[in-house]
Amino acid sequence: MSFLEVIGVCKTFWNQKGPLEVLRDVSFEVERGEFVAIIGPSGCGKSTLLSLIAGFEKPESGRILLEGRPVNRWGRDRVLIFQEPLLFPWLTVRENVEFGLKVLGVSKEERRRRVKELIEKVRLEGFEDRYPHELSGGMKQRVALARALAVDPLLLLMDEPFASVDALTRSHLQQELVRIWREYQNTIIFVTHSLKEALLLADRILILTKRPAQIKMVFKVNVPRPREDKLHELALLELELLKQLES
Amino acid sequence: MTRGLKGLLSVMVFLGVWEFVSRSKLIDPLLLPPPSSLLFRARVLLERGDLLGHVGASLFRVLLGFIMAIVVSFPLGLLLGLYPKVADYFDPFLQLFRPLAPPAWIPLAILWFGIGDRAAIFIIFIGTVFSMLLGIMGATRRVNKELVKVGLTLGADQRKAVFYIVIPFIMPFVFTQLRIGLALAWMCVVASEMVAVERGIGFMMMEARNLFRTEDVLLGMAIVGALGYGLDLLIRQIEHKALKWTKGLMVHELFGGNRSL
Repeated sequence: MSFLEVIGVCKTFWNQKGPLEVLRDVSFEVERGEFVAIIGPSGCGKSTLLSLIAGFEKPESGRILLEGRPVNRWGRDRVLIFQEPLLFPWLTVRENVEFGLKVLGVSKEERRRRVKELIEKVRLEGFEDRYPHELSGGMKQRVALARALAVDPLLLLMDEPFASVDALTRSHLQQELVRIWREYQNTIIFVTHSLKEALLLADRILILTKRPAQIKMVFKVNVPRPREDKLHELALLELELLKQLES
Repeated sequence: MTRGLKGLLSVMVFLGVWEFVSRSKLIDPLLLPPPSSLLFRARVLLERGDLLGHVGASLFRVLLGFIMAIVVSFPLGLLLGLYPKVADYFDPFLQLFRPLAPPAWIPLAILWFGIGDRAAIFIIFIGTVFSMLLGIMGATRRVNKELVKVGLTLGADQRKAVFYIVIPFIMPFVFTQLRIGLALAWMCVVASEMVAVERGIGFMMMEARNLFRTEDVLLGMAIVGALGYGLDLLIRQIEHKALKWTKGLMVHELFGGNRSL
């Protein structure tokens, strides 16, 4: 039994124009502690897939099992991180990170301790009492990451989290994400439309077809970490992968 | 020149012109007595002890009716905003009662409650509750769904999502509703006091009209204006303190202004 099992999942949305088949018989498994990237053409249903795993949507048919138990609805064992940081604008950085612990009823001292640790992890010391609108895009996304890590999720579901920050910030965030992932040993499913990003971050890449999405190819990235200094190797892999995808 | 000084200056000019046109009899002082005579009357009435009684009675009714309207409209507005299916049942009543102007309730209020505080408070309640209810319901419907999703994935249950996300989200709109509601409450109290009670600022004004005491009519209007303004200022102060986080998020900053109130 794998940590996460997605078995024959289909999803169709119905609107005025009729049915829109988004996912067709998608199956894959994710092991505990694995970093999996999902990549595919825009609008292909990557986000829908995450939403299904998060429990905000129900599959038409097929099953999703987390540690052998079916996923019925959302829970804090699977935290979503979106392209927009979606911080609570009325809370400071500290209070945003604290949110999950607060709703769980964690004691104040324990909360202080955890929040301090996480703010250091995402390198936001000195910004604890700022409001979100006083932060840059990259800093907001760090807060969102710390806020998600605070509840100690089994699975981090990231939906193009670095798509709206500048290239330099993105590169920093990618490095920090890998560092934090290795330290906390969460399992991460990371949706992206950048093959480069997927190759840089993931253990395995699931490549989806156009809508209705099916799994076109699974690619294991056998490049040891850290990978920042292996850009040449990654570029060759990217070329090879693109060639395979076209054939 | 600061903002306060500018306001003060224009009020002084206004009072000066008024004093002049009245004293010089450009307008019959019987119809428009000068502001100085209003002040004089205010002192006389204060010394006689009538004025504070009238003001106190009106203030009491406004606050009680207004607070009752908040107590009903806030939770109900939230509920109807979160559950549109429940709101469908309420909708016909909201639409039927809302266009009825508060004075239209006066005859019924007198039949039900007699002449007195209760009738006036009822009219204030009815006159403010629908507007605030619709405002809070509308604000609740526009809460950012994604933000609530984030809260749910972080472990909040639905009740906590309401307390920690929906309510903070709508607070800026709630303050606007409170200000609108309070202004409505003052309109209602004066209208209701003209017929349904035997004390209060509205009653004082109607009595003054019967005795042709224009000063007292104007004095009543000035007091209602000043009290309404004062309470509105109070709400704005509370809003300013409670919603510090909205500082720097307001559109007026793009239009050259830079004020928090």
